[in-house]
Amino acid sequence: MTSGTVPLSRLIAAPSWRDVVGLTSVDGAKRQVRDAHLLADVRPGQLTEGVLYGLVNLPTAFDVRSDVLIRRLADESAAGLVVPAERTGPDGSGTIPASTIRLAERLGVAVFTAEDVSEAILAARAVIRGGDDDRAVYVERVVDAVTAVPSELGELCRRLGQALSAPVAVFAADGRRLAGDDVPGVAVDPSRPGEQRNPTADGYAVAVPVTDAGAESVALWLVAQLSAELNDHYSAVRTALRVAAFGVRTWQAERRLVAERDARLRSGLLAMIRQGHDEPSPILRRQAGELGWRLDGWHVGFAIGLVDGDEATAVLDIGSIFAGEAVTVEIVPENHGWSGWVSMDHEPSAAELNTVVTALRRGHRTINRWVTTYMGVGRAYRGSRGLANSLAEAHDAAQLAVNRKELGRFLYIDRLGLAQLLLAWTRTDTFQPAAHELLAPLGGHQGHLTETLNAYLDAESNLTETAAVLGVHRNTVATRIQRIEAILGVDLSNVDERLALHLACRTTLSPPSPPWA
Amino acid sequence: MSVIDTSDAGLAALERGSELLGCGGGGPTPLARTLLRQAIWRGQPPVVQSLACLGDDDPVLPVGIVGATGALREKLPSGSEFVRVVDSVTRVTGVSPRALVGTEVGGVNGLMVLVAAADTGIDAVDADLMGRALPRLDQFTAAVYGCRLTPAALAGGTGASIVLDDLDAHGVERVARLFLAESGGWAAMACAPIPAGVLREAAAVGSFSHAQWLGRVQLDAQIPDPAGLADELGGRIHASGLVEDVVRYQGASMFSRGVVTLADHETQALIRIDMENEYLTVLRDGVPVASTPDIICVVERRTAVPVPCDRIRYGMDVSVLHLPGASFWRRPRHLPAVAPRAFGIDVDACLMPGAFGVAP
Repeated sequence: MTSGTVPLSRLIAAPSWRDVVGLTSVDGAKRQVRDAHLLADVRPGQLTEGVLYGLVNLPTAFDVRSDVLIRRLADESAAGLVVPAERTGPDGSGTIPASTIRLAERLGVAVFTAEDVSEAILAARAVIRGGDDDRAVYVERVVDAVTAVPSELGELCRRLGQALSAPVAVFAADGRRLAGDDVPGVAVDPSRPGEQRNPTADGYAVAVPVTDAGAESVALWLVAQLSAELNDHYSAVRTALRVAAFGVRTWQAERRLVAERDARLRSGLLAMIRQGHDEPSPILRRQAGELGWRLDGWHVGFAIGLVDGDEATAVLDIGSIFAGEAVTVEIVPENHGWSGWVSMDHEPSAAELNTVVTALRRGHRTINRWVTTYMGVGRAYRGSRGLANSLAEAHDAAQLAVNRKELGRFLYIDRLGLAQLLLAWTRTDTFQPAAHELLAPLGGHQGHLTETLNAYLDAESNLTETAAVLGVHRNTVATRIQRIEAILGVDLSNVDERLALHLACRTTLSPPSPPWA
Repeated sequence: MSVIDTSDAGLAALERGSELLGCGGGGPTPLARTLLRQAIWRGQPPVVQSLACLGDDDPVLPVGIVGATGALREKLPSGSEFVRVVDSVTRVTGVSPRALVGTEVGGVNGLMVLVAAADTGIDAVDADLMGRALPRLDQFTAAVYGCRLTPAALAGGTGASIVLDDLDAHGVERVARLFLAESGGWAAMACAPIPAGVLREAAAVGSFSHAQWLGRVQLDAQIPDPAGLADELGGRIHASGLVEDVVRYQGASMFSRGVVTLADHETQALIRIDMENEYLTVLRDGVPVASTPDIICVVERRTAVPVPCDRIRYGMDVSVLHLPGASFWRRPRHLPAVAPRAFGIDVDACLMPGAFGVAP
């Protein structure tokens, strides 16, 4: 390639030539274009080798001069001809007959149509004289694509792909593809920082990192796949991708902001509902309406807790998981889990309730595939007060579900006895410290005194049975009980003291209490 | 003594020659040949004299058929049309014609002038006013040369006739077209007499004997091969191959136009033939290689039978035959009237060496 010429294929791939249509199949890679000119007349004076010509006024359809022009372009080794796009008049003017195209094909003259021939010629000149024009066009299109706030990553990739006339994909920081077209071969090497250009099956993948707002770490990778034709556009595409990366970062931040604001609004509103007024205030009613919550009707509350970690609350889309089970739920993210409920128009029958609970149980099982959670479901109650009640029951049930691995850590409040509810009550902020304090003196002594006390009380103060449960001698149990009475200064024959100690044992020997208790 | 052989074989040769000089137009000849045979059987054999045999002042009357010559088969001539138009012009001018000259040697008129000679009993001369077939009356050699065509008379198949006077060639063309609508699509025509001395300059001289020679060479050939034929006739084959496309459209002129595309089966060169009533230009790979007023014939490749413009269609196996035209049109003053631009085709005339008739 001599300086100042570009292959015709480069021109064909140029974004500013996107609307120019080729009518002939000519190998553009082998044809060099050195300049572009407009022809005033179909019978031009001199023609020059390597020049692309634009004919603004096409003669009538079967004018033999078109054929003569094609021949002259071939004789002079001109780069090609751009003619106005077909607009068939009543006399057939403005059309290019198949025989003329056939002739161009035979003589190897590249013929294109463009809506605006002069514009196509100007664009061609810009491409021939330097790539800055491409850069501007790409950047302009990318800005358009990211400004119009797409709803999700796939849509964003599609728009960027259109803007760059190349497939675009988004990869996670670890190099896995999140959205967009598949890229054959290695698109991103996460171990290398900074922009990358990696060979793929038919060209290159240009990868530009999207950094976390304010941080140096890479959050995502934007990858554009460049075919061999677009290879010359590498630099322009990279610039455009940088702009796109900035746009994606802004877009991400906006999305996060909206999500957080929404979550805060929801949990604030839920707190008001939990206060449990019979008649919701007008403000509450309005805000609930804005979120699409209904305060009338019947509600079945549920609570889901995370066994460890809270990262999942930001990631898992609980609503859509339940929607997959054909149950519509309202979800409010909380500190270590979610609260939620199902609303119904009328009082649900036993069968309807069963359907809802079954769906919730299945949803819970699905969630547990990703992260271990426990879930409790309350009974159906009416109105906003009822919602608060149902949620409270659900939380109690969830608290009990934590250790019920055999039940899949799922409990529905109807199946629970009152004693279990009572137990739930013991896990309150006031009772728990008291329980620990009550039994604290036993901690400093040998002999599993707390466990022994618990087993003794469980066994209805029967020394023989306690010994059997603990696997020790009866006398050992008796000695320990005497020591316990001495250390704690209690009388285990006293009914009240026995009850208090029994509850304290249950509380301290249970796992840590759930956050909402 | 006639310079044209009017035997069956001679008429067949003249017919084929007229078809070739028709350049794809000029109308179908079989009916004219039937009329001519009939006249000969009746004992009225036409005589065609050499123009050289006439005195300079001998008046020669141009006669021929104008209009849609295909309509002759639908509205048969009564046999009186030529007599009436010759009488009309004689009456208006007061000049009795010494001989008749055909207006057009190509196509049906190549035979009709002999029918006129038989009908009127007046000898024809071995010359015509086109040297081929052309679509318009103002393209008569005499008109281009500067002769007046009026007073002229037309008589149609419906029995109607008119006499035109004080019109130039374009006016005659326009009014004649109007009359054709009334006369059943065709009409016999006679124009103002031209002195034989002028006609020697203002006509394609020797065209009938040339036509008969063309036809005879072709019919006598053992193997009707276009290439061999072209050699013998002093012509050239531009391409042979299958017709790949025929597009017909209404152009700017009153006649419909068409473009024939074929690929030469040897070189794959793309041949484009633009046609109106006749084949007008031939482009080979975008380069003009033949044009009016030379003789452009499309012939069937195996039989060398000429294919008229209105019969050519997709898939035919044809050869494009280029024959030299009449010497009259080679004169620079005459050429523009029949060069491609006269038909709205913006290329220069592309003629082959040599021409028939008296050297310019």
